[in-house]
Amino acid sequence: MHFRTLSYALSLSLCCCIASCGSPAKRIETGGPQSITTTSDVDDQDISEAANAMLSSLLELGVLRQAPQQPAVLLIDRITNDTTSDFPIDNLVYAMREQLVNSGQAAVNTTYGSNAESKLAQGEAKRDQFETGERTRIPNDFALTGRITELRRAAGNVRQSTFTFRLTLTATSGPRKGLEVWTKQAQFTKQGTKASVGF
Amino acid sequence: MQILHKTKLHPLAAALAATSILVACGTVNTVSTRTERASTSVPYHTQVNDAFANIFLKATDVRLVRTQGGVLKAQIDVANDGFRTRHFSYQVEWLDANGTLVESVMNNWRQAQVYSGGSVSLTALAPTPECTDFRLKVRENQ
Repeated sequence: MHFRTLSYALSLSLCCCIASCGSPAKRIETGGPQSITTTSDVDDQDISEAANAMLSSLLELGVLRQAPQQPAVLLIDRITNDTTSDFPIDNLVYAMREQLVNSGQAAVNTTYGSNAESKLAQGEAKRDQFETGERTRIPNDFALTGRITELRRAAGNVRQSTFTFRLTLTATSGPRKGLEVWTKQAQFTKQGTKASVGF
Repeated sequence: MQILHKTKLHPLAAALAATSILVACGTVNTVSTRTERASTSVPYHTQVNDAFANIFLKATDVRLVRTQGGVLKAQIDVANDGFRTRHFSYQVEWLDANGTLVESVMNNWRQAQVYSGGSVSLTALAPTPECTDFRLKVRENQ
């Protein structure tokens, strides 16, 4: 009897020990050095680095400053995810928009086309046009398109994935209308047998 | 006697060969045509070097140039004189003329690696033309 009680107590304490050995939840810096790194998926830090690479190229070359109007007006066209990794493209696009729009280096037209981002604003513009009888059209300077692709390879247990982010700006006004005026690709290759915590 | 001499030489030769192979594996031989500091070099070399010395790397040059887009671009040349490839992360935060941090999605952590005997140029672009200085953080990867 005494032995049974002792064994119960020991089992209970062992369970408690195992339960407390796990990693407690905590907040970490998004895309920071404590982030999880996988080999087969696009991670937070990959998106942040891709956005940084794209913005750096755009700002270094001064492409947006060549637009006839300032700030340059951007249309966000299709950016497709052709990888097997399921991640929101908006994380990339909005990181870039935040930097460009909030610093006054570009403006995004959210009322353009049949799939306008802001239906309300588009409706307001249409109502103004109807009431005044004047057709006002926001002149757009560039359209942003892109594609994200993936190349996978393996050697034994070791898996390798290369994710390529490609973005392109096409002029929609001025003498170079319809031509590609900027393009950039950023690649990230990850290799390993399993995901890890931290860079 | 001769046999004994031979058995003494063998491990030494083997060790020397093994060391040569180990050192040669993953080592990069680097040369540069630049022998002097660039005209765009900035006098932060020592401080930047201190940050890299903690992870056994050496900053050979720090430059700041104004790009055609009107924003500053920082370039930090880092050399690895050690015997193994170093993986590290770095973050460049930009400051305006008042020393205030300019918040930006471009202030993210980035990863880099530099092979033994090799060098790498880290570049960072200021998010706005108002940025005048930068702050560098370096961390060795696990």
